[in-house]
Amino acid sequence: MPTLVRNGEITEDAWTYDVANASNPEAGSILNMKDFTKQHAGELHGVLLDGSVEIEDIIDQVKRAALIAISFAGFADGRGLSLAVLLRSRYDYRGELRAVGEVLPDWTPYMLRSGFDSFELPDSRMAKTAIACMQRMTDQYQGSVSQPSPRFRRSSD
Amino acid sequence: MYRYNQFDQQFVQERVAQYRDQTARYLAGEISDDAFQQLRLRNGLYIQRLAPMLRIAVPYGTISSRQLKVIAEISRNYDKGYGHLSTRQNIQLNWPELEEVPDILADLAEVGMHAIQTSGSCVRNITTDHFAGVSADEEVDARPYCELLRQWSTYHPEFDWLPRKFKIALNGSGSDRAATAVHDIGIEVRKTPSGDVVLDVYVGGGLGRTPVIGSLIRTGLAERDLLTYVEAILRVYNRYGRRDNKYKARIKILVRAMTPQIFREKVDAEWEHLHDGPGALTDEEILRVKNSFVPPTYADLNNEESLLGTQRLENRHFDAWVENNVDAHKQTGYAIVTLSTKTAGIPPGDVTDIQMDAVAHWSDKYGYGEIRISHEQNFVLPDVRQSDLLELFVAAKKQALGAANVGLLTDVICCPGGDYCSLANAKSIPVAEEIQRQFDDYDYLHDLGPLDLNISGCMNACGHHHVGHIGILGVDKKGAEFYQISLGGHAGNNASLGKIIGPSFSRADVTGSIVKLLDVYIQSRAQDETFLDCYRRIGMQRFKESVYANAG
Repeated sequence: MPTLVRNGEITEDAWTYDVANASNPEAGSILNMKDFTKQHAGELHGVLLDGSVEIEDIIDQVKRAALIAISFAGFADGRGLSLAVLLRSRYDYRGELRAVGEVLPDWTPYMLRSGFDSFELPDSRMAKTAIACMQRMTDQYQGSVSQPSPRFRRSSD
Repeated sequence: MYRYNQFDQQFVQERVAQYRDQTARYLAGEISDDAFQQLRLRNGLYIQRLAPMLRIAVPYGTISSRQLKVIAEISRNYDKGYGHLSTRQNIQLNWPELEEVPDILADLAEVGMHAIQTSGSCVRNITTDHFAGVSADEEVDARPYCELLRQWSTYHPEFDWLPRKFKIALNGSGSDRAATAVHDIGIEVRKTPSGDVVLDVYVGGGLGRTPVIGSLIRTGLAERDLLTYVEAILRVYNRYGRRDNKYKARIKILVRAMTPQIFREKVDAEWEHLHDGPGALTDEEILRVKNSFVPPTYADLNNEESLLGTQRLENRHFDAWVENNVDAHKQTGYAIVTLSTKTAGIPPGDVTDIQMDAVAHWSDKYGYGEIRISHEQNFVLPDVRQSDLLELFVAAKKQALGAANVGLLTDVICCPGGDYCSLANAKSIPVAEEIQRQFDDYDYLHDLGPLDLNISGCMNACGHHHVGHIGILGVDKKGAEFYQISLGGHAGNNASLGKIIGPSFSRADVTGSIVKLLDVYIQSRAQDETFLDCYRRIGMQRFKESVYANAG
């Protein structure tokens, strides 16, 4: 059973992956892109994307979702990071952005800074480690979603 | 050179603490081998054929005497008392214990060094001309731009998990000593007639299995746009680069599949959103970084032509060394010295702790405490007084760092090969050694003139064989080591990729084949014509006929 970390804390997950009820999804369910589009689902639903989507083509549909989950296919698949950056910085997506799939503690600092605010970790021990990982580094050189201003614009040391 | 500020120092120390924690969790069984592999690679740690290998970052090949002494000390304390200068200007240790790497990194951090992103699918150490800031033919000092890119790419949230490794090189000199044409991104830094610094950006060059010369996709980019434009390139690559096949994952494959024109359009479309954003460099930041590369306070000297003339007449070894290993300096009375690591019997680029200490000492005594590492795997002392050259030469000779062969046949670029590397198909170091022993006659070497001989032990091309005037590639033929020879590659201005001459040779036949190739050159060359120019003029045929004659 995955453990959810949201806004820096282990949290009960209010969302479900409602595949059985795709034709009439309940509020609070995360749908795949096909079902999400077909049901004209909206602010009560979530949508699951993978790193390969051409976000420019679907942004108008997915933007209304309350939650966008992005799945990471493998440990070295960084596409979801660029997708998150685009959703947050270019398309101003304000809903929950969740990292799912292969999500390991040491990856979460990158995801956090790229705009994710929730993370599905494999178990509660890894969830706790992830929280510690995300708090480890004090500051960074370059700008990011979580701190758009690069260090050189904030400090003169 | 760039000096760490308080934040830079804090950052490397936090990164060490982070890696120490990762190592502890791995050793406690909390992280799988596969997951830890990615984490250790991002701190420069490979698991090699015989032992781990730690690659220490030497940003754009610049290192201080104090830092080099610490590496010598580390090699004594944690290793076997030697290190290896890599073809990307870094220093590698071949025998550290995995458990001790956090301690090594902590020692490095004390002197502002690290191993961050020296391996793994991320932006690697930024490289440049090893003569940057001092060479007489330099237009713009590229080091500040390298440092800006180093900081920007360090622990980047979005681009640390790319399809494959990513190498960026910059050059600001008349002659390109940074091999920019064969990098994922190559940047030419130049001045406009009105004195502004602008950047020309090449993308998709590379060696490996599919060697490609980079395509020019942007000319005249303003300094302030350096980081945002590179960000746009990396975002396009991160999204669309192939991840299904590691041999097709480099950006060169994407650029070729899309065509450079379409790739450029994609990058430009992305960049439209970025160039006026917070990532654009400020004048203050450019100035801050440039100010950390101000030249030392040179003494007011004259050129020492007559002294050197006399010394060279009296000592033919010194004469040869000045001819090959000493380059013209911007500053009157000074010279740039290259200390060759290429002595037969020693793997190219290998240096002992004693040699590292000696080089550090010379850089203090004969310079301003700064050393460079060239991608040809040699040390460079950038600021030597011309009047000190003879004394330095005598000292270097005693440490086996005085070979007068820079740019000549025996200044071989060579990967670690099958002796150390688990990827290699064949050994490379013994091949280099045999060639170096065969051509130990200086007069003959000098007569051959500039000649880049590059040797790789496998297709990954760490020895840059594609851009050797003569390239040698180790291949596996049913379990036996064979060697493919190519001609006509070149890494500098007007770069080109070598062409394979024909069927491969057994190890025993490699040196003999090189002898035959050089005989063809000597018989065919016009006056003062280099090997490369001669090959470009007469083509492959005569070389081929000679080397395969009587071969049945």
